[in-house]
Amino acid sequence: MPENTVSHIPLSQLVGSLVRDIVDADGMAAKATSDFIQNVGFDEKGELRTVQFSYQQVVPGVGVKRYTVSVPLLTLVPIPILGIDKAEISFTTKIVEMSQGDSQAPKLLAKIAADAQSNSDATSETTNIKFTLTMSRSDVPAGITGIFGLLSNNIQVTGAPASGQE
Amino acid sequence: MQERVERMVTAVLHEIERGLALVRVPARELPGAQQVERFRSSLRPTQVVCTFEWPIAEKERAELGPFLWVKMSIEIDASGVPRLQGVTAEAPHASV
Amino acid sequence: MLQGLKAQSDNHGFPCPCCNFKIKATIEQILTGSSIFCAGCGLQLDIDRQGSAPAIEALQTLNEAVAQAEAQVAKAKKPGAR
Repeated sequence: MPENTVSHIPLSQLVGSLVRDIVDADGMAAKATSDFIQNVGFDEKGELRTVQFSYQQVVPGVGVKRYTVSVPLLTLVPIPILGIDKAEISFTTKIVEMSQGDSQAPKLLAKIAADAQSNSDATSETTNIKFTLTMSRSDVPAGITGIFGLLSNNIQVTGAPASGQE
Repeated sequence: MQERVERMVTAVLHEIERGLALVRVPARELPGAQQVERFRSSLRPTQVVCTFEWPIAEKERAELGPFLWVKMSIEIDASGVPRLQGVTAEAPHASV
Repeated sequence: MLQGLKAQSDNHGFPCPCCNFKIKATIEQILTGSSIFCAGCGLQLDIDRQGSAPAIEALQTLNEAVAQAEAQVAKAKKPGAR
């Protein structure tokens, strides 16, 4: 990153804003998945779109019986689950000021620097710090798990009308 | 020197904690009144490694070289609190 | 850095009403109204096109959108494309 694109800001804001950007990007990806599920899987009234199949089965003592199975459309198409599994942010900051607070931990003002190595003019309180911050997904998004549960609960088999029997 | 390195390590740790607090959601905003603050997303920071060169005072340079390499390893728990796992200091140009 | 963009191709399918084997139908099979066979027990399932009309229509829209997106990707990959 070029130097001087960011003025001196508290180091905490720098860390926070980078993490927030990744979380926001993940949110946008999740929104795309949500839109897909909404537009493909549900109609304008918010009801599940289903595909109906019919099949015949031999029932002992009855003969061949025709059944209908209703399957949510979303079980038939792969749902594109978009999101970030893992992110690694690396950046180097130059500490430009360390406050001399007494009771609290010192606060650091920083700016983005080109490289941790190019630190020839550093003093003990204006050093360059290289950060490598890792973010990971801790679990499958709860909403997706819920959708799969909803879909499996909405597969319905019904016997056909009497005319369907042979 | 050790005291000043420790002060920098403490300061960096607190800055990370303050930074992550900016991203966390207060417990009261989450459904089900969680006991601790947590991240809204299941994607969360888990680890930070910080490295920096620490300039060595003139009088000690003959022995230790011009700087120390200080490396901080930090794990971040599920509630977003950074825990310092270890700090190592290496003098790559030490004469002994 | 962003490694997680993925389409989970394994998350679809429904259990066979006879043997519970997971049946996977393709979008083409549904759009053309082809019969689907369970790989576990051989059960034949016929699509009720009339009862499934709203779903087939949505699938048609999706299919067209995917085709358009793929065409754009192919165009972007052509040499000289910006």
